[in-house]
Amino acid sequence: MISAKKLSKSVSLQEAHFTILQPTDLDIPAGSSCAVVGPSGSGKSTLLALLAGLDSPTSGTVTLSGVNITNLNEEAKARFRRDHIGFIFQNFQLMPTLTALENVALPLQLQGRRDAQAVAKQWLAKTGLSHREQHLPALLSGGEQQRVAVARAFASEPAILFADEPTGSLDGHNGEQVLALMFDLNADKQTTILLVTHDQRVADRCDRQIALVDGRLQ
Amino acid sequence: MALTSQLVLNLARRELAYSRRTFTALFLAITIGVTALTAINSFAERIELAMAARSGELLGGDLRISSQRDLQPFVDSLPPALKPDATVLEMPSMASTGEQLQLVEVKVVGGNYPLLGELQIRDQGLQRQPPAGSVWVEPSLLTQLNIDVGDTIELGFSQLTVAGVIDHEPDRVAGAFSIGPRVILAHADLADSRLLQPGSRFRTRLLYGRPPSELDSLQQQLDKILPKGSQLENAREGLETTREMTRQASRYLRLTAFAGLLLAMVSVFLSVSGLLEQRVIPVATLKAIGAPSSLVLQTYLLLLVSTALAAGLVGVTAGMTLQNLLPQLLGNLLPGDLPKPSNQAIGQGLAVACMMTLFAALPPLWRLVKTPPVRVLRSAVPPAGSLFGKIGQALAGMATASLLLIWLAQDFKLGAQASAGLFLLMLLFALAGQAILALLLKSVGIGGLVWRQAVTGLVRRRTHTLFAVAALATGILALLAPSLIQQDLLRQWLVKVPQNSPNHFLIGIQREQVPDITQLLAELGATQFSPQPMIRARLVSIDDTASADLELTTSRARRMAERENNLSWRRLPEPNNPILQGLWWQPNTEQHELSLEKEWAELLGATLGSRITFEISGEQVSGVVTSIRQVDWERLTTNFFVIFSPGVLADAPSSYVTSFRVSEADADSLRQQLIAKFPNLTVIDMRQMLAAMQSIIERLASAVQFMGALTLLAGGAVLLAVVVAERGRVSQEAALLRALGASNRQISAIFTLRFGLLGTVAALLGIFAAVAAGAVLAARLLHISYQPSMALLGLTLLISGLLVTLVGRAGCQRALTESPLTLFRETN
Ligand SMILES: Nc1ncnc2c1ncn2[C@@H]1O[C@H](COP(=O)(O)OP(=O)(O)OP(=O)(O)O)[C@@H](O)[C@H]1O
Ligand SMILES: [Mg+2]
Repeated sequence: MISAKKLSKSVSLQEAHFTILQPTDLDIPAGSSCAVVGPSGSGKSTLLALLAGLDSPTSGTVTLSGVNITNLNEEAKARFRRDHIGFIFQNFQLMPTLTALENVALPLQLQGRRDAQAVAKQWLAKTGLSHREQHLPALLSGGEQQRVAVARAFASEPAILFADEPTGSLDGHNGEQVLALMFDLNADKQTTILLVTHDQRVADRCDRQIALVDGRLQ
Repeated sequence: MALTSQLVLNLARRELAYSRRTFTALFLAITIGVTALTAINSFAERIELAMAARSGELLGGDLRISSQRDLQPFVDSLPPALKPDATVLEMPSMASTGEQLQLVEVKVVGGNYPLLGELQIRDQGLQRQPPAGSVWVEPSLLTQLNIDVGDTIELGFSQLTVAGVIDHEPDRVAGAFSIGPRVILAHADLADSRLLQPGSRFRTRLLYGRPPSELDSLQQQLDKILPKGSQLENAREGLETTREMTRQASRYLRLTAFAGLLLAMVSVFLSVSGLLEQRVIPVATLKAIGAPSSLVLQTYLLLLVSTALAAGLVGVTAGMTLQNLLPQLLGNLLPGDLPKPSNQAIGQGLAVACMMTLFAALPPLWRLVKTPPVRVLRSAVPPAGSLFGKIGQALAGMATASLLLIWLAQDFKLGAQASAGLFLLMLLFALAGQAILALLLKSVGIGGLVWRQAVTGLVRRRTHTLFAVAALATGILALLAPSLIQQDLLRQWLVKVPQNSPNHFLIGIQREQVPDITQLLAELGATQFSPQPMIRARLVSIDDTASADLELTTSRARRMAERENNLSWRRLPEPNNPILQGLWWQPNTEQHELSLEKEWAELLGATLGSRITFEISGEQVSGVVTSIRQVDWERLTTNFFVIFSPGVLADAPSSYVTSFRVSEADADSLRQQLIAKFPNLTVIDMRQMLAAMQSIIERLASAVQFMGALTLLAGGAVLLAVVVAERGRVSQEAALLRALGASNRQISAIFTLRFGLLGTVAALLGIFAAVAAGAVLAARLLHISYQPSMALLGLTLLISGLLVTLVGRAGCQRALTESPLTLFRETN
């Protein structure tokens, strides 16, 4: 489960202070899915980054699966993400130098698992990309890349999945394919999902929606 | 742990495969830097070692008295404790077999020669003096005279058996500056040969080999009784001067090595920072999914260090190979065999490879490692790089590079000066390049699409362009400057023997031989001869100021004042010596009058009316300057700085010299018949002498150019790094142009022109700097006239432009032809 107390973020830019996220309380039960919607620049990615421990809040706390990650140092946060969190990004963000299979195996290898390769093969098969195992990301289409990213996110069977605009760079057909994959796997593994999107139809598939306007939860 | 290291290994392997072009550029840059450093540094080190080890040997003993006079009377007068332990006398002479004739350098050795070092005779081991009636000769004489060991040669008035071949002679200074092969003769055989005659040219050396405790008092005692015109040297001081000289020479060599190294570092920096900047988002992704910072650090350190070590190893090997070739390039300009290069050089090469890579890579690598994971969500935002930060980075880079050079120079001042100078040079090149870019940008309006795109591309990526321009210009400077100087040096020496003017010198003619030789020369077909008396004399005073007290500003003047002067006397003026001041004397003058050569007069501060006193064989002779002459030294005839009016020197011990002309067809037989009849004569063929000088200069210059070429190669590595770093942008630009409807031919033309422009700008700057540097060098150091060859400059411009275009186009060829599809994907 994801829980935030009085979570806020402000930045100072050229001596002016901007509050990107107003103090926010949030609770997302384990195994449920939640969509964050809102106009561009409303602070959706900021919220996601704070909840996932990618960024540090100005104030407030974040508790993931019962662990307060707010005061962990960078390396400890990284270890926590490695063991409990999966990510899907708008621009796929595969490692350009690694093959599709290696990209999927990466989180498992980071965990030190010996069966990383075999498990990665299975996950890549589930996304229908077995024939692309040895290809570099540059040789895959956008939809294929995002499917590899989905496999990478689920391979370590994380408790929580964060997705920032997972279909934002894909056309309708490919987007649909990726979403279907995500929600199927979620149903299977009981993953908690927090998903940022512009697309109301995507948001509608989640158990719950929250809306951000100008950094304020509606 | 094992799994992490496996992961590191795999990430590194994949990065290497993915970025092979960048790593190739990096590898080349490090290799070139280390090659230049190793080749030049260990070469310089070997020269220094050889010089240090051999300077005692070169001196020939612990103490040495040298003179251009016969020191035998002085030796005879010495008490037993002060008698020299060995004597050496050197002079040019002619060796002949009846059919063949060769100018040789005779060395007459006596006493316990050699005191230091080893005289090695082939198949006979270490030896001291040839047995009575025989000589040892350098191998080249055997081929030149077409004889073998055991045959006899004529030397002076003696017939001598060639008893052995010299393999190593300890105190032979610079083999290549010799005028002929060596012949070693025992002192006991000197008298019979009658080689030593009044007026003959020779140098004599008295050598002392004593325990260090006795040296000081010996030196003091000898100092008191030292004959005039002779020098007393001790090996310790000699060591210092040779060290200083070699230090100067190796400084220049090391500077070119540093320039090459610095350019290589620039190239490494461009390659590495270009690569690491592209890895910011992937690294943020890695960290987002839970990778520790250490994984990134280890992966890239592994890649960089192993590239550095591999390239360092190749560089050291290449450098060693090259510096082993250098002595061949230099021929026998270097004394004896050089000591073997040290293992230290190998260690140093590897250390330098690692340091130049890490110094250049650590700042961008550190930033990469510190990338916050949240960047994965903000890939569009470029990292904020303030101008302040960039300047800071540049300064830090320069500081680390300077530290490396200081460490390598083992001398704070030298290293700091070298790096400051090189940075300043590159900064100037960059500023000049910037000005030219601004001019080019103004021209954009007048050109077509191709010109516009070519120029704007250069300007848009200004930093990279200026790096490449500065690096290439530095390389061109290093290669071109010595070539320009070489040409002028050669011109100086290569004054071709003019048509129909004398082409031989004849020296050592005795007074009583003059009529016979004059007649023989005429019979044998020689022309333009007129034997002139030549008298050895030492300058005593000018206008009552003793020569030692003259206020002389240049070392050249000091040498003029101290060395033995060759005086002459004549009745009538030499037709080719115009009188600049005063008047030539009346043919039957009874005054003691003097005519001086203009430069000699200026250097020593003598004017019309000065009274000058010389000492000839212990007697003082004075005269008053009544004319100052101009001598055209480029005409290779007998000329004298100082000429007396007739009568004054009539009784002084003198020999006669003459130049003469003989047709090439008659030259051989003339030389042979002349020597057969007058064995004491020495004939010097000027064409041979000039050819020898020319080959020395050419060999020296090619060694220096060789170093320069390494620097230019390092400049090329910077270009390659720039081209590789720009590949992504080049692809995008080409795709964009294509999308806008540009044809392949137009795109190709744009990039060809762009690199052509880059090469031309760099070449122009390098050429300008080389011409300027050459002018300063020619005027300040070498005192030669300087006319840079337009042909060479034009050729440099052409070749540099072409090479840069070729390298640049080859480097980005694929980027130009890749389909926009793969390209857009790759940049995503
Ligand atoms: N580190 C930062 N420094 C300054 N401004 C920031 C920073 N991070 C975010 N912002 C600003 O905060 C606001 C919210 O950004 P955020 O990326 O969270 O919006 P978003 O809702 O995800 O927008 P989009 O739908 O376009 O992705 C934006 O105006 C952004 O420019
Ligand atoms: Mg966003």
